[in-house]
Amino acid sequence: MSDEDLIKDYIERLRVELVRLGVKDAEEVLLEIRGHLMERRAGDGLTSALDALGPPEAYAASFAGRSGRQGSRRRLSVLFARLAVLCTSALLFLISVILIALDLADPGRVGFWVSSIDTTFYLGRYSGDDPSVNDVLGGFFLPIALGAALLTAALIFHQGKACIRTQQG
Amino acid sequence: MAKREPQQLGIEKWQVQLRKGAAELAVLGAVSHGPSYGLAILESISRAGPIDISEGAIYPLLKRLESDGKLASRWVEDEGASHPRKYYALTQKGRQALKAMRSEWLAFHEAMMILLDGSQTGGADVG
Repeated sequence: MSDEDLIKDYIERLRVELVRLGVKDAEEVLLEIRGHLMERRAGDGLTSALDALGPPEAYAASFAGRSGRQGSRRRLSVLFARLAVLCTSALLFLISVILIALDLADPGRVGFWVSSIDTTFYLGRYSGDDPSVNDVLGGFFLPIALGAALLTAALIFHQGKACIRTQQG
Repeated sequence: MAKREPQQLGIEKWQVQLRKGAAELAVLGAVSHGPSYGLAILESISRAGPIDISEGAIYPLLKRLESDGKLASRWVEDEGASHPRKYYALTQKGRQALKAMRSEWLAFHEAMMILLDGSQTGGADVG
């Protein structure tokens, strides 16, 4: 087999093994390895170069991991998870802020109201006069709402930064 | 006294691990001198001393460093070359990583020399 045929054969076998990498990444690797082998051939080092690379099946495995398509898929699922946490935190933050605003505007009427007769409960402003419905949190409602707002704000900030980092890869 | 081969001294595996650990730093260091391509990076590392990154290891390592954002690459049609070459250069992140790794390496080297200086002046042998 001529040197050209040896290189061509190696590259074609490597191409088959690199299919998991994705088309663009695989083509770049193949072009780079082909160039390397051609330069080594010019210096009479083709045989030792091929020996050093090893069988294409094993060599392709050394490119697997967090690069290429595998890395992209993993980053996407991490990004979606972070976005889900971010959106949930934003919603809870909004609810906390609304409850705090309502409590400040109309103190004593905003809280976590539970009926002692049935399992009905209300979170927010209760303007009824049913004596069986009581605010179970009482004076603790505002501090709890403030704490929830701060916690969700911190989560939004943290997850927002993490989303940007994940996006940048 | 004839120099003994690593296999005779039983340190071959240790040498392999040592070189694996230093490979990333060696590559970043080599590229810090200017954009370079795979074979040239290997040659400059080999010229520096017994660091020996194999031809099989260099391209996956370069790809990983590029995926990590420490290296950026571009294809160049060099004059006289029959094929395009993929040149790698340090990114800002790569420069920062190199600086941090260099500091760690120097601190490690200093600590080892303190330990080894004691063994050179003849510490007690056991067995």
